[in-house]
Formats: sequence, C-alpha cells, structure tokens
Amino acid sequence: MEPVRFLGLSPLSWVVAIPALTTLGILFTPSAAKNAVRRIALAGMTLTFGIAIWILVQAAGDVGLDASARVLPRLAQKVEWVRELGISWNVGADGMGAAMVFLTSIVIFAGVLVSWSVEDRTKEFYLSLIALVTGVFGVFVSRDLFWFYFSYELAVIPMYLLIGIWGSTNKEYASMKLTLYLTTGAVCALVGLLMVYFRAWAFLKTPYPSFDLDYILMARDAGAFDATWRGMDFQVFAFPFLLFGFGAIAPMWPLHTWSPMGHAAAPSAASMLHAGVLMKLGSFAILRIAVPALPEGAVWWMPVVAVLCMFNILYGGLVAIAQKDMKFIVGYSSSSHMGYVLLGIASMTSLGINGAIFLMFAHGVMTALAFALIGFFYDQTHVRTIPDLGGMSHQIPFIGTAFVFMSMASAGVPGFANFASEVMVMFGAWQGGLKWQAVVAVLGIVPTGVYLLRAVKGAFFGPRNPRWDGLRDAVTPFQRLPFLFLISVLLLFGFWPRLLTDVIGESADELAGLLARAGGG
Amino acid sequence: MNTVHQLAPVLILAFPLLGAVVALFTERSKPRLTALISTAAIGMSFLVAAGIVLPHVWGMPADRLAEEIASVRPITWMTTGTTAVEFGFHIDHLGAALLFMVTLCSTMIHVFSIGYMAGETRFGGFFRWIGFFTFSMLGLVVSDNLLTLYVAWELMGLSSYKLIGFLYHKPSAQEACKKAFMTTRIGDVGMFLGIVLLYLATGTFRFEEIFAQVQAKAFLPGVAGMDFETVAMLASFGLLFGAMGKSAQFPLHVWLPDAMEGPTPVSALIHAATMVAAGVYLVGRMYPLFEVHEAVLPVVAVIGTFTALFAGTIAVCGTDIKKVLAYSTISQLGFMFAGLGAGGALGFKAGLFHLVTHAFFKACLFLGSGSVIHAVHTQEVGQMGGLWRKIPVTFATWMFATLAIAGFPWITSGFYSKDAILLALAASEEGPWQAVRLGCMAALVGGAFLTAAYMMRVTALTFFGKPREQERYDHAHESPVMTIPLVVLAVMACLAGFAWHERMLQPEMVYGFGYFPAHRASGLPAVALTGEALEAYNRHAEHVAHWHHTLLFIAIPAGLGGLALGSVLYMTPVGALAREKLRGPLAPVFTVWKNKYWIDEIYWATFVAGSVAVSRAMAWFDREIVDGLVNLAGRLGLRLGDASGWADREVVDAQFVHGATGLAWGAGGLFSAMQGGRVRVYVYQAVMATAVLALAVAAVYG
Repeated sequence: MEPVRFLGLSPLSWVVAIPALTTLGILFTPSAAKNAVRRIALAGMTLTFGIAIWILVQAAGDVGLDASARVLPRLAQKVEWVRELGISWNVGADGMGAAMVFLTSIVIFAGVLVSWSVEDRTKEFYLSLIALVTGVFGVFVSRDLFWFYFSYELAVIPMYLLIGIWGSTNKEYASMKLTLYLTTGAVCALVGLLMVYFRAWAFLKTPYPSFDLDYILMARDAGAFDATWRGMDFQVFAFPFLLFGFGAIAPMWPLHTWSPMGHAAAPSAASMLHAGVLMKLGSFAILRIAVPALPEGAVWWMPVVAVLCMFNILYGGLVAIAQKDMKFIVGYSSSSHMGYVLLGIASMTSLGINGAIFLMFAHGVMTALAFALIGFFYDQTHVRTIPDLGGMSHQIPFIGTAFVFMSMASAGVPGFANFASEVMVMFGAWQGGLKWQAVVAVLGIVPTGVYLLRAVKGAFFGPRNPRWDGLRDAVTPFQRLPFLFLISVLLLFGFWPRLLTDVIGESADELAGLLARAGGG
Repeated sequence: MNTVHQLAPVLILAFPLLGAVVALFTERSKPRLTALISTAAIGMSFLVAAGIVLPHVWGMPADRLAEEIASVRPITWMTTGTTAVEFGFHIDHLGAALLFMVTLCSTMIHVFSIGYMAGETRFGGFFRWIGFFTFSMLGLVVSDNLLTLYVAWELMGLSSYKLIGFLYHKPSAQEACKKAFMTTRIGDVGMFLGIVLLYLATGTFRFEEIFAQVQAKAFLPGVAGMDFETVAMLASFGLLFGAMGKSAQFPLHVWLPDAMEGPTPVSALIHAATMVAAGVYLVGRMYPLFEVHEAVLPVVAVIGTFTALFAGTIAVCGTDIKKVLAYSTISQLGFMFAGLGAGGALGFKAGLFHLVTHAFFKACLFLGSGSVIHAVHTQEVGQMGGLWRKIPVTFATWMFATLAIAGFPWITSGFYSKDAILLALAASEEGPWQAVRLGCMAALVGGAFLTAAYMMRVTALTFFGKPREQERYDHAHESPVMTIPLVVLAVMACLAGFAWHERMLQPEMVYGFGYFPAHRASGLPAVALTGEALEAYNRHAEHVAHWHHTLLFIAIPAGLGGLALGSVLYMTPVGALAREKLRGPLAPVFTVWKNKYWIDEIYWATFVAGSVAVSRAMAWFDREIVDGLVNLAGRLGLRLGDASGWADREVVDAQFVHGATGLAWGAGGLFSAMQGGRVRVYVYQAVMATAVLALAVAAVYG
C-alpha cells in the first residue's frame, strides 16, 4: 500500500497545512494591502477546496472496494511528536471525515467571498477567519486525541476575536458567553478524553501512553473499558463527559443558548462558519471519538439524547417563531435542525446515522447561505429585526429569491439536500424504535415552515419601502458567486444524494454495527 | 411495449422542465420569447400524452393498456445500508388520463396567460413558474413510487407558494401564499407519516410492490405489533390527511379561497388541473390500500359529502366571481372524494372521472372569469351585468362550462361524471356502511342542485341583466389569444364525457400497477367466475343497472332544477320580488354563509393565536430560565472571582505578602543595624556567636 504524498505530506495534512500557511502569508502582508490579503485568503481556500473535492472523489471511488484497493487509507499519515506522552501528528479520513472536510472547504470558500467587503482591520479579520478554519480542518482530519483537542480549541479562540471585534448586537457579552461556554464544554470533554487515555494505558501496559485513536480503539477491543470503576460501569461513567462536553457545541438542549446569541453577534463569515461548521464539531466528535471508544456507554446514554433532541427540534422551532431578529430566527432554527442530527445519532441505525451526517453537511451549507444573505443586506440596512424590514424584494430581488430558496431548503422541500437527509433521519429514527420521536420530527417541519415563511414575508415581501431604495443588490457575477455556489451545492446533493450517502454510508454502517454489537440499535 | 411508450414519461417531464430552465436565462432579456418557449414545451408534452391516451379512448381494451404501460427502469437515488431508494417512472391508464388532462389544461392556460399577463413586469418569470408547476404535477403523475410522488407533491407546494404570492407586494397575496403553503404542509405531515408507516410495513416505496403485498394481505411483520388491517388503516388515514390538505377538504380547505390572490391563470392551473387534483389522484392511486380496512372509504365519502355541501352553501352568497369559483372547486372536490369513498371499481372510476371532467370545465370557468376580469377590471359581480353582448365568446364558453358543472344532461361531461358518483354511492356494496353511502348519495343530490343554482346565479349576475356599471361595461372587450383556449376547454368540457363515459363504466377497469379489485380475484377478465362469485357478480351488475336508471330520474331534475331556480331568481322580475321577500327571513342563514362559517376566525383564535402564545412562552422560558441559569452561573463565577479577589487582597496580600515584606523590612533593619560600623556591637556579636557555637558543640558531642 503505497502512501499518497505530495512534498512529503499527505493531502490530509495539506488540508490543515494550507490554511496554516495562508495565515502566515496574511501575517506577513502589510495591513494596508487589503486586496492582497483577500487574494491570499481566496487562493488558499480555493486550493483547499480543490483538495477537499479530490479527497471526496477518492472516497467515492473507494465505496465497495477491498481494503487493499482503497485510496483513503493511503492518505493516512503519522509522525511521532512527543513519544513519552504518545502524541503524534496523525491524520486519516473515512467517508464521514471526507464529507466534513468537503463541507468546511465549501463554507470557508463562500465565507472568504462574502467577506470581501470587510474594510475594518481586514488583515486581522482574515487572519482570525483562516486560523479558525485551520482548527476546524484539524478536528475533521485528526486521528490523534491531543491534536483533535488542540484543533478544537484553536477553532474556538478566533471566534472570540471575530465576534468581539467585528461583531454587532451585544457583542462583548455574546463573545464572552460563547467562549466560556465552549471552553467549559471542552474542558468537560477533556476530562473524558483523559479518563479514556489513562485507562487505555493502564490496561494495555505499553511503555508509553498514546493519544492515537487507534490505540484507544485497540484498548476498547481488548476490554480496557469494560471493567467497573468505583462501583460504576466505566463506559457509562465516562461517556457523559464526552457527550455533554462535545454536546455543548452541537448544541444539545439545554446547552444551546450561547448559539443564537453568538450567531447574531458574529459578522457574516463568522456566523457562516460558526453555524455551518463549528456546530458540527460537536456531533462529529461524538461520532468520531465518544461512540467508537465507548460504545456501551453510548448505548446506555442514547435514550437520553433521544429525549433531549426532541427539545431541540420542537422547542427550538417554536422559540424561533417568536424571534424578531433575522439572525436569531436562523440561530434557533439551527438549534432545531441540529436536533435532527442528534436524533439520527440516537437512533443507532445505519440509516439514521447516515442521515445525521448527511444533514450535518446539508445544514452546514444551507445555514451558511442564510447568514451570507442576512449579512449581505445587514451590511447596508444595519437593522435585522422584522418589523423594521419588509418589501426588500423590490430593491434586492436576487437576494430575495436566494433567501426563498434557502428557506425552502431549510423547510425540507424536496430537491434540496436537507430534505433527503431529514427523511433519512426520520426513517432511521422509526427503524431504531424511536417512534414517537419520529412523529415529533415529522411534526417539527410545521414550525420550521412557519418561522421561515414569516421571515421571508417580513423581510422581503410587501409594498415597496422607500427606506430601502438605496440598497444595492448582488449584481456582478463575483457578488453572486457565493450565493449561487451554495444553492447549487444544495440542489446537486438534493437531486443526487447518492454522491454523499454512498460515501458516508460505510462510516455509518460501521458505527451502527458497533452500537448493535454493544447491545443497541 | 414499444420505445415510444418507454420514452413517454421522460419526454413528458423533460419538455416543461427544459422550458423552465431555459426561462431562467431568457426571462429578463426576452420575456415574449420565454412565454412562447414555455408554451411550446408544454404543448409538446401534450402531444406525447395525447399519443398515449387517444388509442385508449378509441377502442384499445383497458387490459391492453395495462400491459402497454410505460415504465422506465428505476434509477437509484440513494442507497444506505440495506436500503436503496429508487426512482422510476410509470404510466398506466389512470396516469394517462391525468397526463392528457394536465397537459391540455396547462397548454391552454399558457396560451391564455400570454394575453392575460401581458404588461406584467415579471412576465417571463411567470412562465418559468407555471412551467415548473406543471412539471411538478406531471412528475407526480408518472411516479412509480411514493417517495418521488412526495417529492413532486412538495415541489408543487413550492411553486404554488411562488405563484400565489406572485404579486408579492400585495399584503393579501403574501398572507395567502403563506397560508396555502402552511395549510398543505400540515396535511403533508400526516401524509409523510403515512409514507413512513407504509415503508416500514412493506420495505418499499414502489406501488407495484406495495400493492402486491396488499393483494397478498401480508405486510412485513412487526410494525409495532399491529396487524395488517390496522397498519393499512393508519397509513390510509395518514395519506388521506395529506390528500385533504392538497385537495382542500374540510377542515384543511381554508387556503384555497385565499389562493385566489394569485393571477387568474394561476387559479385555473392550481384549482382545476394540478394542485387540487393531486390529492384526489393520491387517493385513487392508493385505492387498493384504502380498500383494505372497510371503515376508511366511508370516512372519505363522508368528508367529501360534507365538504361538497359546506362549500356549496358558501358559494351561494359569494359576490367575488373568483371566490365563488373557488368555493365551487372545494365543493366539486368534495364530490370527487365522495365518489372515491363509494368503494369498488365503480367508486374508483367515478371519483377520477369527475376529476378529469371537472378539470376541463373548471379551467374553462376560471379562464372565463379571467377574461371577464380582464374586460371590466373588477372581480365583484355587483359591478358587472349584461356582459354577454360585449364578450360573446367568453360568454358562450362560460355557458357550456356552467352547464357542465351543473350536470346538464347528455351533452355535457359533468352530467356523466356526477352521475357516476351518485351511481357508485347508490350501488355500493352491502354491509354496515351502505346506509352511510346512501345518505351521502342523497346529500349529494342536494349538492348537485345547489351547484346548479349558484352557478346560474353568478352567470346571471355577470352576463345577463343590465350593466350595473356603465363605464366598465363600455370598455369591455376580449381578445383571440384568450378566447381560443376558452373554446378548446369548452369543447373538452362536453367531449370528455363521451370519451371516457363508456370506458369508465367498464367493470373490468383495473386500479393500476397490476392490482385488480377484489371481485376480480382471478386477476384476468378472461377467466370465468364460477359459483357464488359469479352469482354475486351478477347480482351486483343487476343492482348497478337498476340504480343507473333510477338515478336518471333523480339527478337530471336536481341539475335542471338548480339551473331553473338560479335563472328565475336572478333573471326575472318575479325572482327579484321573491329575493326581496326572502331576504328578511333568511338573513341569519346568509350571515353564516357570508362569513364562511367563521372557520378562518376560529382558526386564528385557536391554532394561530395558540401557537404564537406557545412560542412566546417558550422564548420567554429560553431567555429567562435557561439563559437565566447560564447567566446565574456566570454571575456566580464573578462572585467567586470577587471572593477570591478579596481573599487575594485581604488574606494573601495583607497577611502573607505584606507580612513577608514586613518581615523582610524588619530583618533588613535588624541586619543593617548589625552592620552599623560600631566596634562595640561587633564585639558583642563575636561573643554571642562563640557562645552559641560552644553550646552547639556541647550539644552534639556532649
């Protein structure tokens, strides 16, 4: 099995290295050369996008092949870093990882484009943005718990700066809340990670411990986590640390209040990344680490998730109806949609987990589109509350139409990727025995329709409002590019979900099989 | 099976979709061209559909068509684990009839729109959406599985949202499109649950496989421990709820009258040929499933009958020409549901037969009303009158369509289809539900009378009598681009009856997808029935023949009577006098009807206000309680910080740090004093040190 390398690094390592190099490039560009900063960022992210597509294509090509014929395993790369602690630079990808890397590259590509108009401290803005996305890529490709955790934190800190400096609406409070919340969650998860790490070492009795995920999984297979620990089943005891620690960013009810507030305060591109990608880190971490490491713990705790996600879905949807700020509407909507993701995971079926991962992708693209659109007009109107807006379709018809498309995608209208994925979650939930949850999930599409149509009507429909006569629509192809790009992605995977579901499917099968062997599903 | 048949579903779908895509690029720069391309595209679809249908009408036996059904090999849409979701297309006789109807109506509506929408700023965009709308409906009809059907169903919801809200600057239009989308969405929840249940019970979305399992009376085991009939019943009710939403059956009918906010061609498209037809089609398509549990279809019949009467009475008081047509649509859809509710091959045929004939005459009426509105620039019949002289073609076609909806005997299609519904209900199978169906039949005779009466009323107010607003009357005119579609539809409103009448009444008709009604258990008409089955079959046939004749004496007077009543009341001096006399005593009834039974108000007060209140309460809870706890934690953290700050200041700093410094100061003072340079002090130190040393040595070695 010949490893795939380019200049000594695997493409997966490049996915992290290129954004890191891009930040360096931006760092050494003078602040006054704003266009140069933008171009460097765009070039770096375009390159990353290209690599992400390449990885996804390889993943798609791998489906159904023998392990020896696959390309994806050849992309793995491990370089030892601190032997005594067992830390190494260790990257690898499966279908789920490939899909998430693809999602991130899409969102950041569009995010760089819509941020073109940022004039205030442009260099620092792009620096934070790309640093953030470096962390996100790091999480998605990392197979070393240390780097996983490091990247996770790396993604959170720039968000603090992005909101605190370039944000709006109560930004100091929001940025502080978000950072403290996520850091607390991360620390909670860290406790869980260290428990697993030491437990594995104590059991395997190797000379050094290791943060390598494969080492942890080996320990799991050897039975390291099966024993009871101070009278409690270790898995049952340790799992909630990971579940709620990562769940805070997912965001799992009732740990969600940082999120709408953070969305609302953040500048457009940061909101896009935040809702589009950052939130997915939580559910991704649960699927990547918590479930594989502690499957029996997962089986014990998933019924709890199945209850909490109901609150996400219905409660989030209902609260969204009562909001006036457009960003709060989309923020609570995200919380509601992430409930479907959690439901898919809680179903413990291959179909449900596949749908959950697919929905992470679909929702990421859709919500990035939403925040890009809101940001587009907010930059000009400086208000976002519904009673103040209205009738904007007269002045900015392109943005209005794109917003309707976004709403329809979010409301689960067929033809968009969100529909296909939500359907899979609903079927998966029912298959997994969560019948009532499936019914609630189906009912949840009603509030979704209500708040979205309300937003469309409140912001775009209605008689011409002279107050908005000065608004400029997205007219040039370059201005329209990010919006059309995101809509096309939603439609492409909506009409042809196989492109992704096949890729994700094997990861989902594996997770579902693991859970089934642990007594669930 | 020949290639044309195989290609047909693809072609029928491809033309309008291609038209809509082309429109995307040309609608702004070349709106006229866009309109022509869209119209041509749907016209091509019509030609293909006609190619399938016409041989059927002209003598091809039903069974041969059933064999010649066109299907396309399914394409895998997505796979996951053991599940593969496949999309395929399929046309059978039911689909063929609908395709013909939809494409013909839509083509006519396209042509009409070229005249009607001229001058509209988004002329090209309008054609893109009606093209896409038609595409969605056609997709629904050619689907060979429930999931594609659902996709098309929702796409239709999306396009109806855009079209009803086409004039988005009108507040009423915004409300209407939102209401239509949401109301049908509520229905869709039920439908989707039905699909989920059915999928889990059968493991497939494909009609063919579902019906095979229905025919075998065996679903996969273990859906929540329910038996076959219960699962079928629950799934039927779920699907029925969706159908009620799309086909505007009580209590989900509220969106349809408001949807008149869309431009008139949209009304014709949505309320005659496509969207409302989808619900009826769904019930027809899933008929084998609906028949499983004996209680399901009677419920359909009762809902339909109630809706037919309920909406009919509201239509009696309408003053807005389009609103009257809207309620008449709801009422006619009720007839179709009632027909389907009759059960058996007769009921199946009757409901769908009426669907097809209704589409033609209702499209004709809507477009006719469009022509009237275009002529006089008002929708209020109170401002019209005497228009038949000014717009004769519109009037003539309208008259034919009115006769058709009123069921004028022999020459109109409505007569045959309505008759078929009454017959199906009257001759329904014996059993505990027979009385219910007979009751429905009796009520629908009243409904037919009502229909004829209110249609004649609107006709009289619009076209006859003296012009009530002279200026509007003077400027009234009509144009050929709008009247040609009217003529075509009026012709169809008459011919459709003859064309399908004979075939529709063949008892051998199949439900599609190889499913045969129960009394043809052998599955093939050539196999002779024997013994009891034959006897039952013959008895039934006799029963049908009996009712067929009896009904002529009931249905014809009902229709003619309604027409006569409407004419007398609104076209003669006697009638005017009678109306004057009746106004007082009937006032309370009219108040109820005029206010549409206050259904909208009730919904506002309960569901809308209720959900707003709940969502506000939730938002409060989120802000004050959930976030309150978070902030409390934050404040506790601050307090903790303050406390440790205080401790730092007062304890650590004050005691230890300051103590240490004090100590250092003291020590420093002491040490500096010790090195003051005075000899006396040094001697003293030396003595003391020697003493201490001596003591230490003594202590160690002593």
